[in-house]
Amino acid sequence: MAEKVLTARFEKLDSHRLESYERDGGYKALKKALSMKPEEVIATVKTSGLRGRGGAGFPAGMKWGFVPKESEKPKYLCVNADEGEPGTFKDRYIMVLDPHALIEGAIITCYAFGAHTAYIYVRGEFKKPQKRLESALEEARRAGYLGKNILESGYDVDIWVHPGAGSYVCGEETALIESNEGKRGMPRLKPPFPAVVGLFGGPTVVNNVETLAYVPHVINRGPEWFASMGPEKNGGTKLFGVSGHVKKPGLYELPMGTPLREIIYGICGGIRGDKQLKAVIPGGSSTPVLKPDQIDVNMDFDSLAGIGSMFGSGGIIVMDETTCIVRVAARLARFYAHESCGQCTPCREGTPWIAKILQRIEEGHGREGDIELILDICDNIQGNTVCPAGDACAMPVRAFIQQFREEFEEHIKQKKCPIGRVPAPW
Amino acid sequence: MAKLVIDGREIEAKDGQSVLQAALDHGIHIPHLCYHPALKVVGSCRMCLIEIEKVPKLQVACGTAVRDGMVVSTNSERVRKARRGVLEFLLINHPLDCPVCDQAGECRLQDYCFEYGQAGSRYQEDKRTFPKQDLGATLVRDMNRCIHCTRCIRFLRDVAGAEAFTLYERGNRTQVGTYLQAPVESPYSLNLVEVCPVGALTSKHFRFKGRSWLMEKTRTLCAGCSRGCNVYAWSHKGRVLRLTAAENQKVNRIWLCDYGRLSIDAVYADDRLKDALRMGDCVGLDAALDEAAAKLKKYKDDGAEIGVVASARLTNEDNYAIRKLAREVLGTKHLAFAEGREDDRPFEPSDRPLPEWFQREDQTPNSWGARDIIMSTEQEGDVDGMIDKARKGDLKALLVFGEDLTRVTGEDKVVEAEFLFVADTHKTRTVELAHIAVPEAAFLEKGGTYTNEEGRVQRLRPAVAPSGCARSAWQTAQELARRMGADWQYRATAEVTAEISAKVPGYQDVDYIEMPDEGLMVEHA
Repeated sequence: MAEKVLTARFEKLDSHRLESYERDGGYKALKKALSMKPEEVIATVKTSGLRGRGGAGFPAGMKWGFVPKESEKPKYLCVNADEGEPGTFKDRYIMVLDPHALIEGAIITCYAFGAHTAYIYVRGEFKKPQKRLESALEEARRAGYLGKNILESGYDVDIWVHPGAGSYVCGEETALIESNEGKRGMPRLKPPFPAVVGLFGGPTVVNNVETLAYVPHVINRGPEWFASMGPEKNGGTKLFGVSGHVKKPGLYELPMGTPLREIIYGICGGIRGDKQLKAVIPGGSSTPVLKPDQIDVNMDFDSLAGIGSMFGSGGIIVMDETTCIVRVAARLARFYAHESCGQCTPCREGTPWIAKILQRIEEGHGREGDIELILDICDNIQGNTVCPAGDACAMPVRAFIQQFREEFEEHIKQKKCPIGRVPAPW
Repeated sequence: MAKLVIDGREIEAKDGQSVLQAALDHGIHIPHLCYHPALKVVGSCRMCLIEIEKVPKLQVACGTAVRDGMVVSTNSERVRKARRGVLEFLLINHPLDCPVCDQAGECRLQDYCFEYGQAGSRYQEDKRTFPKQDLGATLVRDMNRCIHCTRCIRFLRDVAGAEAFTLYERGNRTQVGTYLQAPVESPYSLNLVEVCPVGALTSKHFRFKGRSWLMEKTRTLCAGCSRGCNVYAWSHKGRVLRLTAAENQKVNRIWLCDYGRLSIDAVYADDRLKDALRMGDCVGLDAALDEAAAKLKKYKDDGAEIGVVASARLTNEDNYAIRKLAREVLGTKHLAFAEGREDDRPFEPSDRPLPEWFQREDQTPNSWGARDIIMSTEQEGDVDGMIDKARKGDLKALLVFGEDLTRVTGEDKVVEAEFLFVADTHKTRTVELAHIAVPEAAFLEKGGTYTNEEGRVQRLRPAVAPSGCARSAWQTAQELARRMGADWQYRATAEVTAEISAKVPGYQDVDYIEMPDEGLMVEHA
């Protein structure tokens, strides 16, 4: 059994309390980091190859390195705890069961690139994680890990919880920053990138919760240890949230590079009722769907990119033979249409169009030419938007059609679902 | 200075410019909707997508800074497909309102669809619609036509200093409007009609009045205050239907205030003086002028004192002719005009919100020109004094051009004189008290020059013919002068201007025909 890094403390009683965290060696990494030079901390994280766990997989150390050393405006760390990607449910557990891991990681990160303030942007619906974090932050302040001159190091840093207000697009880093500033959550044009012009105009790093939770471990046990836990350039472990038609859905921490087949059939016990697998979404709804003959792929960033999909956030959605793929595509398109911020033309107008056509097809009113039209709309959206949310709709929809085209064609020809599913009451 | 290549053509761009700005500077029109030269860049309409060599994704020209050596294509197959896509997306919910939409003929969306779009629509679903929202006295909002470019929001917030508009809801249900359905209260609200690239925001005043391609456009000046904003007067069948802003970066940039825009209404008001009056009854203009000239000649021969009031509302040519009439024909030094109000705010256009500098305290267009012309000749007294003298009988005759004396005295019974001659545009109280009154051409009906508060001389052009038998004050002065034996031969406004440049100090370079659009600065008192 592979080593547990992030989830090691999840099943302990009162794991979220400071005394439990300290008993298990918590905040040692912070003490060690404060004795290093900030550049050394960045270099360590760079060497470890830790890649962002929010979905994009950008190397964390490299991102921190983009922040200019000197800055007229204050620097900020924004922790992305929006957890908006459908199928993803990992950050909530870190915040509820081991908040100090996140806090320690955030403090070390702030120290590394020179920020004195961090905001944990938690999605509005996560009331319990917000409360747990606020309690843990209070504990940390009382113990001297946050505030002025933390641990006599001469460094000031504090962290605040900023709740979101119900928007998927606020998981996009610039929209998150806008929302954090109290404005409407609409993404900004890049360049400039947040590392140069971010929160309140100052250099800002935006990192996912899970990414930061690894940082204390990297400091404590060294970057080579972290890198060795997975394939080259894809080091460490990952929290995989498996949902859908498996016997044992849940959150599992596994080494990067674990084959998808092993996750579905080994760890999760196979398909419920021993039915046939039909489709797997590998990393959250924005990632292109895979068919059963593709599940021998290793779950890491590069392997999935190699087969035309994406590693994403690790939200694995497993679908068996009773699933109507057209229904899945329609449901997802409807989500993206609803969540579109409305700023740019292709996403604002294109995603509802796709949703409407897919709904028609699902309900048996599809027309000749609808499929080609959807693919063309996806072409006109992808790459032409302000932020990746437009791509997040276009890529999966295109993948559903490419991988399961006959199913769409049958819906149109037969004017109903070929496997007999009744359309959802929208 | 960055050198870049656009569609095979090498151009030099200024540092810090975007590719779009550099292209537009060189006459390369990259289509764009949300970009506006006076507003912050948002890059959201995606109409200006271009292909840049070595860059994998298409980029928005408005948001991409120029770099030396950049190679740009605005016309590749990829770019054209993206443009068709964006236009198609904009049209799926945009109502086919062109036949009833005021914006038709000057609509960016129409123009771009014609040039870059596809002929038919592939959209076969229901269109999303919004309820109409009443935005107050000046604007009509048709949210169905909105393309969410957010120019209106940026204008109100950043230029007009009135954070009235916001976005509410999300996705394709996003609406632009006022919070809690409140009316838009900004004296600059009608600029939104020009700022909005489609017919989502239109003018209540102009609604359904005219088609842009049927109207004639005349570049002239607003007469609402001493700024002298440059306008286009749009007219059809002899009537001015609307004013839009003409660009003059030194005076009004590209803006107008609502008060100025709506000053057309006064020109067509019911109380416009259209005929000559004698003791309140209509008479022929010639008869009125004959009688006035005869009376004035008798007063002059008898050695009686005559007073002449010029006006800050009249052109330099008008005031010059009035001065010449007073000094050379009537032989009087009783010549004055009523000044406008003082304003201690800076005049130059700035990036400050419009309410801080735009509309001037002085609500006359030509105080400064009147001062230059009237005060540079021998004159004595002021308007108040002349009214007193006339009441006492020290002045037997009073000629009042283009001024309602209630503005000066504030009294109901403003003036008494043995003989009162008035030339004005409307039936004012002063006109009612006149023995002879003749109609004056309004600012949209005459040519001439105004000198604004800054000392800038700018040119008016008549957009339409005068109402009734109205004419410019300089023509009226000429009629009186000739009837009194003076051999005046001004055949056109330009000839009066030529004499001003010869005789009035500081105005030597003023040329009516060669007047640059930007106007001309003169030295003045």
